[in-house]
Amino acid sequence: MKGFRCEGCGWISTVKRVVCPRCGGKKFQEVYLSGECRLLTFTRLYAVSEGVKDMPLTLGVVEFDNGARVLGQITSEKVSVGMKLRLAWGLLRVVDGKKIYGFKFKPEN
Amino acid sequence: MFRKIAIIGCGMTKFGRHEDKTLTDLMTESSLEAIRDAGIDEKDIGAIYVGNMLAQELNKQTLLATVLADQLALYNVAVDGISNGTASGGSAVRNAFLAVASGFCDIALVTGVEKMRGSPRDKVTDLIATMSHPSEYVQGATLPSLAAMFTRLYMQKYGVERRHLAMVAVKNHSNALKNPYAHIRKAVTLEELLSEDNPKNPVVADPLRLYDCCPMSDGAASLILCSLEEAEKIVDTPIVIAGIGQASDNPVVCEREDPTVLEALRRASQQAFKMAKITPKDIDVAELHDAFTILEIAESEDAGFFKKGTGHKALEEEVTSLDGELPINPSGGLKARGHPVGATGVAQLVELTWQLRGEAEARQVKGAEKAFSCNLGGFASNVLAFVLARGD
Ligand SMILES: [Zn+2]
Repeated sequence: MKGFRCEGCGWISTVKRVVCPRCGGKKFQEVYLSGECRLLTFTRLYAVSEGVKDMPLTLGVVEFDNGARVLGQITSEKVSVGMKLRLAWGLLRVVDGKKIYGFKFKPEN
Repeated sequence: MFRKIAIIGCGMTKFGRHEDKTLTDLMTESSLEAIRDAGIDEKDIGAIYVGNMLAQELNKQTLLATVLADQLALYNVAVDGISNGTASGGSAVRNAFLAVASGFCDIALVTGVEKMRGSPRDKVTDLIATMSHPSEYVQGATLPSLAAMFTRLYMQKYGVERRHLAMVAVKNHSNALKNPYAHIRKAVTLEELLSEDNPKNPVVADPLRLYDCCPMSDGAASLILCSLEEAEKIVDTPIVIAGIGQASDNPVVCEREDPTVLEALRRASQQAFKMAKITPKDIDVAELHDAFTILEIAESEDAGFFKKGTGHKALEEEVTSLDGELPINPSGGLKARGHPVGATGVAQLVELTWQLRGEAEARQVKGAEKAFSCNLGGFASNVLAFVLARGD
């Protein structure tokens, strides 16, 4: 998973920006987020959008060791705050008839 | 510096389900009521602003302001549509304010409108979800899911419990019983809402249940704005727009430094209070954007009324009840008055105008002189704040 690290303050985001929201820096370095991350908060969503198949859809916010926080789908309904997750890949949803694939998170082992 | 601006007329349709009325019917009805309320002629209007979010997709209609101008046969004035997500209503008011304050026109009509009920729920949910960041939209994030994750963080950090969320719903439903314009006029009890297996209150996105979320509504609301100097000649009780603020925040909620803080609301409210030269302590009544029960609690803190993390205690101590020290959402709020998204920011100011004039009938906050509202776009990524004051 690609991220952008601000050279000014070290803040990492998965969103490409031209100015850093934290320090105003304008130089970014591409980094890759991988390995273990920790679940900060989650929900199991029963009122899903058009184009989303899973019911409920488990969504969560994870934090990587380098501080990057990312929202994503979790492949299991059995989740708890603090649990360790890893990156996975799969179908996220359908938008205008087009299948969208991307990163998700799955429980370790 | 610009002129002082007052609200001299207001009107709204009942919020709820309007199968038999078109968007045009709704916005015309509330606009005519505001014109009648101000006691002006439609020919006195020098500009029209219409706030709306979803008509292009749900009603296959754009250029709503043009259609409204045609209804009023006002062909020689500037008419604009304002779309800013769920803050479209508030943005429309701000634009109308600027038009009159600058002296570019003397009287402006601002109308917010939305018609959502006739469309499939998952489609509306999806359109509303487009306000989230594209990186989160592709994951299937919706506003209720963002609110649910926000709620879980809030519970962990500040000790908010499910019963506090239920208290917001109970209070706002009870207020809406006194509001003939409200979408949902039904009392609910804490017991009903805290029951784990109440089929009428299913889980939407845990820990949030149906009664933690506002309904989707049809409806319109309108205001007539005028310079204070002129207003004093036209009406007995002009209501001054004493302060306006607007600010934004990182739309990726989880990336915010403290994701439990609504920073855009803090900034917007501080701007509005500074412009009005008052502090949150001076406010007698507030209309907050309670699209989800947790938001009323969080906004009551970030708008500056209570210390961060103590909003639920003020709620529990009934400080925010209709007869409390700072009544919040006397109208029933988005929770029970309803949330026709483009109309909400305008409807909040209609309610506060009635409150400050002393015309709010059974839900009147006694002696209210200064009022506050906030209207949120997205998950508080674009926020407008208003301070109103009696002109006398
Ligand atoms: Zn930086």
